[in-house]
Amino acid sequence: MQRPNAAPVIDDGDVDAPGDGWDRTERRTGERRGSRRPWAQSTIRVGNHMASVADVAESLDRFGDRFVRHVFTAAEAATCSGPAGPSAERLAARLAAKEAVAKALRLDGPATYLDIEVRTDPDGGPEIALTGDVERHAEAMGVVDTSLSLTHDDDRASAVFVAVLDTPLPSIPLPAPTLDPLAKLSDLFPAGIPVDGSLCRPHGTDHSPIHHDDTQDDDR
Amino acid sequence: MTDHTQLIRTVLADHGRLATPVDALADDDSLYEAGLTSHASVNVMLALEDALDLEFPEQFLKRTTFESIANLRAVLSDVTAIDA
Repeated sequence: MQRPNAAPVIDDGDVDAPGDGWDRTERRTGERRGSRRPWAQSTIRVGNHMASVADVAESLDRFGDRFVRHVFTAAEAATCSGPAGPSAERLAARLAAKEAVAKALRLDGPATYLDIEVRTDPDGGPEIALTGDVERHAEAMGVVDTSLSLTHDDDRASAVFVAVLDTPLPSIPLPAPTLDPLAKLSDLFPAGIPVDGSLCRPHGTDHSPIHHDDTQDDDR
Repeated sequence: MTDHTQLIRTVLADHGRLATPVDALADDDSLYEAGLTSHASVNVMLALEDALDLEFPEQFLKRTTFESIANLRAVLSDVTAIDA
């Protein structure tokens, strides 16, 4: 959850970073859970959506509770209901949030609506709770933190959703070894150590250029 | 087997909120490219349920179902077969 007016938080996964490198659970509990994944880097995905309050009101008029049950969780429906019935403005804001999440996480159609729930965090701001297939999809993507902003007026409701992902660092190809570090020098240079650009015999022996005639060496 | 093509076109015209007139769409044209939103696809599904007095099983509530009139027709055939 992003606190109001706080600087944007991009978790770099560095436990010792002076900035706010805490994940959502850590910020909520105020306790570090341990080291983050040092082999990962953080990226963000953003989704936004604008929903028509009039369209939601029309769906409510036409399909009533069936529309609500297909799109909103029971908790959302309860939150958005008042003495006059469901609030089209508040439901439209939640519909916008679900679409924003679907865009950010590349989800598949209206079947995902009920796996995305807008809740109120302890500070009174909106937050997203993911369940079921969407939660598993988000985990597979590496989502470690989310942030949600909602707004609406009489005509339109809008939502912006940000997901922070831990993604593996790109692998850095290492050069292929040219020498076996465990090999004996005598195995690498059976005829002697190279000095001054030419091959010489070991210290104390003939300094004349080495001969590559194995027969001659064996006879020595 | 009942062909639901005309019913689908009528429901899309009433609830699809398409930018392209339904009459201008071929059965295989993309409804999403024609302007169908996820919200509108829920309305289309509910209207089809009302018209046919059935309920879409959860497994059909996915993007491909609403991709085209042909896809909707195929799914309705499966749903009505299950419902029969």
